[in-house]
Amino acid sequence: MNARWLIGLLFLVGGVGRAATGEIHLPAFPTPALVLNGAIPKEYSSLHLLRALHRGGVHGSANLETLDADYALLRMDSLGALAGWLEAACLAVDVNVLQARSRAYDGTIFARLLGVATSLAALRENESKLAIPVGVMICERKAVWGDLPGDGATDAYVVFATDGGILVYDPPTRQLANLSEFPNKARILRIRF
Amino acid sequence: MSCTLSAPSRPFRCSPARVRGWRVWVVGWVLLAVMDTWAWAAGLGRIVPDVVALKSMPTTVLPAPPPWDSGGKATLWTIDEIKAEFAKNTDTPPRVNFLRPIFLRPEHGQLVDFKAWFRSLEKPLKIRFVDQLWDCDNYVSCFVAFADLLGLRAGERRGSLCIGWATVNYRYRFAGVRAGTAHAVVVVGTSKGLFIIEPQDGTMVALRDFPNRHTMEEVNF
Repeated sequence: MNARWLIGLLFLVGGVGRAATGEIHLPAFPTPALVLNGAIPKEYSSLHLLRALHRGGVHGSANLETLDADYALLRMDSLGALAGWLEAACLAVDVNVLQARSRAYDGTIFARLLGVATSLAALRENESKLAIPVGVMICERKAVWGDLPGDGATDAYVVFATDGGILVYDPPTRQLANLSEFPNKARILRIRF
Repeated sequence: MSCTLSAPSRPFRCSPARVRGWRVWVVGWVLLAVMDTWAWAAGLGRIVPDVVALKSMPTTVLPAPPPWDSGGKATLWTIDEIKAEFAKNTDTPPRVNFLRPIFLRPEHGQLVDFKAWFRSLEKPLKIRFVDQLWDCDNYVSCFVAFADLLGLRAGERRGSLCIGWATVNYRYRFAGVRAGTAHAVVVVGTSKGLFIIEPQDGTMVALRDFPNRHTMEEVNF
């Protein structure tokens, strides 16, 4: 799987890359696969998001900031394409996401970039007017989460509202956790969709 | 040592090596299943990036952006200096959210060039206002995301770009947005101080001249 991914990525980046004219060539924005209610995308209100947070064991509405009233819901099986876009887009500007933590790291940059790209793709598709639930979560790393240490540092991750619940994604490590299993859920400072 | 695995037609006799292989397989699969369950229980799944679908799609071409800090004129600003600037220009300073305490303040002309470049993206990116899907918060996020992208492209390591966004309660009409609404605008720190940008039409004013500066709620860098 990794070899296939690498070959695909090299092909993609080789094809897009950066043009000599200074133009920026990005991979096509990743069209999100949405959960449908019949033939139309299912509506997921900010109240639903709050409830999903509670189900995930995160209490206190002060932690959640929603900038829109109604969201679509992402299908879990589309997250690989979103992650693939983020890595390919960053490689197109000579940044390896997997090594991003080797220098000063700000996870909000990657969360924002992915949220904007996914919303732009949905805007082009013109199939839904609902906001896309790709957001950012800021928390203190008190507990170890896989490759990430429990050093107390403030960190930022991508969050997705999906048919499998709210998922937390760390692009440099590719780690993905359901919010209910996220080891630092008691240390969340803010979630913004 | 030999063993017999029951089969309906005839017994299957296997050699010691085969027995060891069979046991290793079973133990291996059980271990993998246990580890997998444990990993998910501990929240340790990993996403597998899928780029196959991207290959068949046309690439997105953005026009050449202005060079990032080619003259090395960007200066550093601390979060305390930014907060002081808000305190100086507003009655009730907004809360400022940030992850890195050092910011890179672009030379003013460069930021103006970037703003013009951003406005030129509207056509190739087919950006248009759609309530919720692409409204004021999406415009500001897009502005900041593309600034970040240029910073990444330039290998900028000195600090976060001093380009963020704010939520504001509009008491006064500004850049076509009516009073009495909640709105999102871009906030930038340049060599000339803090500025507010309305990314939907490119209006840019100094913070001290922004009519709704006293009702800014939060600034996010």
